[in-house]
Amino acid sequence: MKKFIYSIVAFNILIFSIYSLISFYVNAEKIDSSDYMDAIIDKHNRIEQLNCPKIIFAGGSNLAFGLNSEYIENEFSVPVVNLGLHAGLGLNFILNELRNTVKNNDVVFLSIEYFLSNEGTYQLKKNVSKNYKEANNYYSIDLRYEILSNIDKTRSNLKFKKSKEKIADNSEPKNQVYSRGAFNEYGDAIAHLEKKSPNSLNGRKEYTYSYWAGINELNKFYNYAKSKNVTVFFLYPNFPVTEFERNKNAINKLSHDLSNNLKIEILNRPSSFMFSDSLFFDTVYHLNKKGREIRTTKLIELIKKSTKAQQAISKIAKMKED
Amino acid sequence: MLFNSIDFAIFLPIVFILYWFVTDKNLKLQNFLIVVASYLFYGWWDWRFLSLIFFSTLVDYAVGRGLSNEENLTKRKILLWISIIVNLGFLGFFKYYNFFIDNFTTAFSFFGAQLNANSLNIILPVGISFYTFQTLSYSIDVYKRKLEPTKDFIAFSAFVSFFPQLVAGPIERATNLLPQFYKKRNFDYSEAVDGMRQILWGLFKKIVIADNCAQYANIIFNNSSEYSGSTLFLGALFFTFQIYCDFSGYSDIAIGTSRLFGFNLRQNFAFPYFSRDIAEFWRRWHISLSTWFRDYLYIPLGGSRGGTWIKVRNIFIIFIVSGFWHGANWTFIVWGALNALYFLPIFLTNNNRNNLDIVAKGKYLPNLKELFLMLLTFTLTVFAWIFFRANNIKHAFEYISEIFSTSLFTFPIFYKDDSAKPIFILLFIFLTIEWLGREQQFAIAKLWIKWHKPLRWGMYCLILFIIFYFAGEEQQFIYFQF
Repeated sequence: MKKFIYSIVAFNILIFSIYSLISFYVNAEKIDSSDYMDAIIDKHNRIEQLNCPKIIFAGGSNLAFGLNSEYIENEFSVPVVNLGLHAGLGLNFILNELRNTVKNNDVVFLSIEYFLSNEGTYQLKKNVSKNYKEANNYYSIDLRYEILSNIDKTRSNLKFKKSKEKIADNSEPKNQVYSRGAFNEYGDAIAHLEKKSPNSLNGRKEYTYSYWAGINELNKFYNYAKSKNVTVFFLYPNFPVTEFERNKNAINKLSHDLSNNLKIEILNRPSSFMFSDSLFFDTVYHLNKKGREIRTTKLIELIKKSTKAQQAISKIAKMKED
Repeated sequence: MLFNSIDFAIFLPIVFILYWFVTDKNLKLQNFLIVVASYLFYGWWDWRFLSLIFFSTLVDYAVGRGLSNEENLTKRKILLWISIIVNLGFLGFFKYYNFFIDNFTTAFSFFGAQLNANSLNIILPVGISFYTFQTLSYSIDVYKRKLEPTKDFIAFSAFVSFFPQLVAGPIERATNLLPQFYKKRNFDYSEAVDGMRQILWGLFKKIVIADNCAQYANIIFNNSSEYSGSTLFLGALFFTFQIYCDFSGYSDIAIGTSRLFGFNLRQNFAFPYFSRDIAEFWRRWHISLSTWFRDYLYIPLGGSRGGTWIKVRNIFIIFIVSGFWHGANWTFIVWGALNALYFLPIFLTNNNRNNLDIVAKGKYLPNLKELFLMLLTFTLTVFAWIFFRANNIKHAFEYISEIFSTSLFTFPIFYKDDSAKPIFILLFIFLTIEWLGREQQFAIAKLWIKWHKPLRWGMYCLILFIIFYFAGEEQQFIYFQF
């Protein structure tokens, strides 16, 4: 038995060593930080540079593509950072990112895609933490996935397979709609603003209602924010009218659950951010130039109508003056 | 839990260590560990079906205990029928309910009547075709007094649920496997090493050959109307190797894994594609199932005793039932019937036991006659597999008729495809190794055995590298769906 165990262990060490050498050799890659997900670096750089209370928008790409942060900043005379990036990161990632970011007196507006999953897609989280190491603190490592993806990656690189096709775009690579260069200094995606919308919107789906597990996570975040003297608000995201009509039942039930159970103040109703399909760019959450302006204007009106929001923002503005 | 998964790679060493280091002093505890591990293994797919296997175990254990105390023939028959009805009842419901409902409805509508019967959304429990037959063999052998019924429920549960062979065989006879749970198992180094080699070869067959062939077979079968006869024949060839390597690969892993724990399972595939006639093919293909049908269906029906028509009837029953066992589709029934048609001429002319030894035994190459017979038998099985793989009968006939069109004489579509070239090379290497190892239990059983350890390990590393590099897109084991 001992002989067998020793043989197995020795063989496994041999295999592991050979694999590690191969993996190390073929997976060595040039650092490329021009990916869309690398925009997280610039968003957090802005936060560090600001070093003062600010307004933070957090959520998926409904914010990245649908907000004019500069307009909001000018309206309220308070610095604004748009952390919106990709809903696929999952609610927990977004909230953990905020937990690691928010400071005393910050005001956070959460605009979360409908029925967003808590966990998101592991590969996206890996992508975002490739060049922004801090993001490793925003999610738990899945060892099984790490092993399998390393094996897949090593095999792919050994076979010299081409990487996935980039989204077709005629402009220079750094200004492609889905690249780091697509974002402005506030964290808004702007490369798509002058582009023609594709013929149809991606991401259409039929939602099946069930009690959204995200409500519990949002309440936990609310408690955390309160302990840090951070004010939080919740916003329903922008959505095409046709999709709203298709998912009316599920969304109305979700709205009912949120009204009854969410501790965070909700600033709008789902219907208030329903827009015509013609105001969207390429997916059901990405607004085009006109839609972005309309949404930003409406958002400003909503903030002004909320006493609590006005007070929190005025406090920041006053602190900035002082 | 798949054999070719990270989960199994973690599961197996843990069970191995607990088996040999923690529970080895106590046989009952060791058997209990097998039961726990097996239920965990099975429950990994769907924990809801654990109740089924447990219930089946309970019924057959109780039937065995009842038979041990019963001398009255009528009561003994009743007990046996309880086991048959429960086991085949489960199988019939989960596997064949919708098939029968759909066909009854179609038959009624053919006569102008409307039958309102609802199909059910039934999930087929993995392995049900295998373990129900395994437990049935116990009940039947106890009834026939070939086996003493067991009093040891743990040993019996371990026999029913033994994880290496639970979900896709080999279907073990109680007379072979159950007694192995009564005896203390001693660790044997050479058995364990052989077991590891068999696992390695099984993984190679499954991951490299079967999964790669599957990709092309699926493309061709799923789009068969777009391809030439030559490409369709190539697709049938790919499927022929896919099904063999998938199924025999699984069996190799199952048998190899069992050897790690000191168990001997029977060989399930004995290089069937080197057969010289259909009778030899069926002595070498899925041996555990074909012998099951022979012993529990064919022989009770009269076997080869009786007049010609009785023999013909029995042959058809055996092959059609064997086809039907594979799935609830007319294609499987036609596949079985076709094999019966292949078999009958040899059987009726008493030539079904001509080739009992392996072809070209002790020689490197076959002679011309042997080569011709192997190619003929192989071609017949390739055509039969078309029915096995096709979506329905119509698809199968369209597929075959296109093969026999003039487009058979054009180049197959993949001959220029660089990504397909490696699979042809791998198939050549694979067939060569299988040929060289055809007199053994599995192809690499004796290969490199006399080499020095560093060289042998080098070959194992090479096989692992090939598995790693050439791993095809993961496909579920074909026989899991049965």
